[in-house]
Amino acid sequence: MRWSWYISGAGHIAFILAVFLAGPLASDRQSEVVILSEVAILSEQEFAALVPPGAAPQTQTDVPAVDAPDDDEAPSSPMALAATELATPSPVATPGSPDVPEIEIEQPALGLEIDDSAPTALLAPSDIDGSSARPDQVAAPAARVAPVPQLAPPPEAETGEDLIEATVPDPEAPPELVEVEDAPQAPQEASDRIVTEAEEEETNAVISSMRPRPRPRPSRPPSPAPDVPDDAPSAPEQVAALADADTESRQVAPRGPPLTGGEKEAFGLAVGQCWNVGSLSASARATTVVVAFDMQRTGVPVTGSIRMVEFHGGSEADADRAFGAARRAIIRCGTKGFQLPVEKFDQWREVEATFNSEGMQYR
Amino acid sequence: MKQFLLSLALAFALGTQALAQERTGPLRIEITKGVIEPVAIAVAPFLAENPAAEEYAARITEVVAGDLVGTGLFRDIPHQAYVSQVADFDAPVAYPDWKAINVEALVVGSATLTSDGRLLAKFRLFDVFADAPLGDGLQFAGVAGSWRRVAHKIADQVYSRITGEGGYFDSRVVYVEATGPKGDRRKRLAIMDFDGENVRYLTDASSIVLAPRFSPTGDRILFTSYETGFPQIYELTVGGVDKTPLAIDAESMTFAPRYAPDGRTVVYSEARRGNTDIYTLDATTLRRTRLTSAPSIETAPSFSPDGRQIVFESDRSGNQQLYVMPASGGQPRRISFGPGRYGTPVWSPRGDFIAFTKQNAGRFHIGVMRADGSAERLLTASFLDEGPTWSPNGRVLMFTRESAGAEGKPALFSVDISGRNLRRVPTETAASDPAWSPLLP
Repeated sequence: MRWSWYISGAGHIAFILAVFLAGPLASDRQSEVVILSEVAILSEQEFAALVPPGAAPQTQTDVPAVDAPDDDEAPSSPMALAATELATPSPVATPGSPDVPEIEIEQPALGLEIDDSAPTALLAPSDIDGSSARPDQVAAPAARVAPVPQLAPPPEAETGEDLIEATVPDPEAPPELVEVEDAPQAPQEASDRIVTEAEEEETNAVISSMRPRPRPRPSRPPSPAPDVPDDAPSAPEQVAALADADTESRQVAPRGPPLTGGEKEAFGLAVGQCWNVGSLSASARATTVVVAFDMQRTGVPVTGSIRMVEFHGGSEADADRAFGAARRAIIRCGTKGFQLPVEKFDQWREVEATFNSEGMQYR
Repeated sequence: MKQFLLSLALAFALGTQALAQERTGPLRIEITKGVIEPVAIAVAPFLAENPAAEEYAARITEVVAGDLVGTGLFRDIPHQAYVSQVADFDAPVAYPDWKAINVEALVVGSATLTSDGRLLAKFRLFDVFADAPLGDGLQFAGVAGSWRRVAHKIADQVYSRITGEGGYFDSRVVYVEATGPKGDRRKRLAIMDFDGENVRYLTDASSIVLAPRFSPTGDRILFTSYETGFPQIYELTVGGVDKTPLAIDAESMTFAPRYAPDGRTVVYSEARRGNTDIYTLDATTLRRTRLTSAPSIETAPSFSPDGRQIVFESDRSGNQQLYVMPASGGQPRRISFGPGRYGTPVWSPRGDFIAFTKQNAGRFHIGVMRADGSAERLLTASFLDEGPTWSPNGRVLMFTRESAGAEGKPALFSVDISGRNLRRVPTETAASDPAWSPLLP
């Protein structure tokens, strides 16, 4: 019996030792490693002497000349519109430096060579109705060439028999409300649920009511002033500098308590308010993306840090579209800063957000 | 006692480790609820590279914006709201100016009219919040008269890059145009752009025509005509407007034709001696194959995009329901089980859904369901909705809606597969039986 006690005790002791040695103690030791580097102080004159003159980056100003479009290079297939890829201008490129589009022109055959009117042999005379046949809206060649190109008049324009004097708007008269009748269409909505025409129900009941006032909250001491200026940095240099500053403060700032479930949920809901999946394809919408980003103490996300960590359920192209929607949501709703407790900044300095629209499929 | 101390130490050790791990990780949140609203897009006025192109630049801008907004997925920011104007096609984009007015995507383009009458139009698309272009710039070219197609092509590209699925703007719709009073309608086949422009007529009104269907390549059309006094199937070449009778048989009536994905096989219904069944016909050899042999009425067949299955309607259970069977025939499997009657099924070009007409409780609906009958959704409800047809990308349905009463007229409507963006397709006269073409080459 005692042997079993001894064996059990030895096993427990060995396990505890292993946990302490390989667990937090080991990681603490690793985290305590201080990296030192040799630093030399240079004076301004010494620095100037090190940098050769004219080493500053030069802006490229010489641009390729624009070639005239070459009609002879039109593709042989008469059924295709010629589409030529253009190089995209860099946001910092010198204006007026077009990459040369190699233009290939081809008559876009439609697979349908029919005149505006019906074939004469097929149409009964009574069927040829001038009002029903829609004239081509491309301007027809005119006998007289106007000095300035003019738009063709609308085809429905007619000259009235009676002369009607033009009305001059009275500047003091109140603006007239004009109601524009439009084709029936579903109202634009911002919701996570789509109600089809078949599901709409006519009701006289009150469908919305005043939102109750929020419960009064105890006054909180003013939060400490943010470390970064109000305007969010966008240039890479500023982002890098900010990241350095964050790294520095990370080592000294105390870590607050973890965010509560309510705070996390409110954060997710705040991001979701700008997460627009309406334009995504079905496959992109079915793709779950995990997006990581850094936050500033002001609650504003660091734009340059937004990156996709992983995705599930779709192709890479689907994931790219889903990530684009997620990135727009983070930036748009984070412009003024998410409402997060500053005292817990260390808990939300880095965020990993999973965007999953599975529950938003057509219902 | 020793055991207790050891357990306590173990728990402490594990808790410490867990706390250390929690402290080192990022904050993890999950977003499961977003919003469904149009994307704010700015279609900057296309720049005219020369004075002769000014007119076309303005028109192309209008059509591109109209195409995108018409999907219900985009909201065009008016030009008056722009903080900065686009003055040069190659100028760097001032992203902050567009972010300031909440523009998510920016389209910049230009048009040139060459001396020989050719139109060149190029565009670039920018993701404003990513501070980066969305794909490469593209240029399209054609004769000046084809400016609408050029604009549709540009809109297709923009749509495709933002949504991740193919566009449908550069496509056509064939339909039955109806004139005259309700009891004496004259009908003829007409073809138009998807947005109702450029209407052309393919047949005269001397005989009733029904249910036109495009071939997979868009160059031929199947339809049913009463030219002989009985419904018979004809094939019409779009470019030449010449028609050829198919499956003419004095002892039978043939109707509800539709092409197989191979473009040569035609599946249709044939009523012979009071019984209607489904047949296939090789349009080259005119060889017919009977696929069903039930005493009930089987009609409205439609191939799956891979050509392996056929969905059709049948009243073999007592009322109209939807069934799926192998393309070579065989035991059908019922897929519709809801209340009411189901008809005119059409398989989506993406293969994910089957659209149908449903009649229930005195109302007609256009709906969609999965190929196994699951996830049924009704998208519309009215006095009479029927005959859905899919857009080339499988995102939009067009159908016939007829209003009630003696003055009621059929018209074409379209609706997004989600049930949003229900809108009327503009036609100058009454119109029914739409069939959407594939994307034009």
